Amino acid sequence: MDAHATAAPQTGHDSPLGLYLKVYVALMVLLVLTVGVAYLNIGAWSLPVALTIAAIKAVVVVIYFMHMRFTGKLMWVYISASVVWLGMLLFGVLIDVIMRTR
Amino acid sequence: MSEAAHDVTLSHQFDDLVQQRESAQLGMWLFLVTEVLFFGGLFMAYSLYRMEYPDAYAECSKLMNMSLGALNTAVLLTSSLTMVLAVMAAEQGRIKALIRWLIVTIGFGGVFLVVKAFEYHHKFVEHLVPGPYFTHEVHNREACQLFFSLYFAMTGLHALHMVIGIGLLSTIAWMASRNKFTPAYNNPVEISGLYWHFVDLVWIFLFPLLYLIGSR
Repeated sequence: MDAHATAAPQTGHDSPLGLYLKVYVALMVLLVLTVGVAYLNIGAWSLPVALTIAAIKAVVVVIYFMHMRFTGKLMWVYISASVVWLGMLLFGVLIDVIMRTR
Repeated sequence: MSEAAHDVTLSHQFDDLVQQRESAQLGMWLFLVTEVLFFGGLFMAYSLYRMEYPDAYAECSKLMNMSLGALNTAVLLTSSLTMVLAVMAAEQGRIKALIRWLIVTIGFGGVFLVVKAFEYHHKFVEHLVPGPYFTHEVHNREACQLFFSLYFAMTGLHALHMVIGIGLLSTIAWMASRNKFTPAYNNPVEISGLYWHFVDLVWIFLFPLLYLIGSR
């Protein structure tokens, strides 16, 4: 995606109202879904399922509301870095605790 | 000053408006990366103790008011929609619509904080605030206090970000009323929106982790 071609400030983003409303409805459906799943009592699966739905909501917000589909490669590097660093933190600490205490 | 908005929009260190806009976005994203790690430490602590006390987490999560949590999630998702409509209005040069959507967004932020305040109040009344008066009606009192300590730390830090966000959007609305923004220059609106959506993102993960992990 060429950032300069799509981020021209004179024209702004092509931001159709309809798309935002569809994204909003999708987010609300996912919210109802995650609350519904909580009542199913699926035990150990409840957390992974709830987190998967949360991750989908997060990606939708980042791509459509935070305009990631318009931004350049450098921004993607930054966002990926935050996920990688958070992953390193979680992985590093949890693997240490699991190995030493179990 | 406001009549000359077109002339003062390009700072001298930038080649053009495109470069200026991308620099502003990159700066905000860089800040948000540090925010991910800021909240990440708390998510880390949450995960660590959940591995240690999964049963206490499941039991104490049930003491949360899921309806209010779900309501607040809906309020924040709606505020994200109105925020993106504010940014759209700014890009189209519709200043009145911009100010209107900003005020609506601030209003939803206020509703979120009021609901949160009621929740905190209930926690105090029900003796679910960690300390000497913490309830004895749970199996693992210590682990349950740990869960509620994390609840107050995580939602408290998130609520602080909401308060800052409301201050930020109020400033943007005031700037908009002074004709500071044009279709060519609205970087402050856009990057404030990025911040607002980020605070929404944090809540999207807090909601299932705190409210939904207990069986019902």
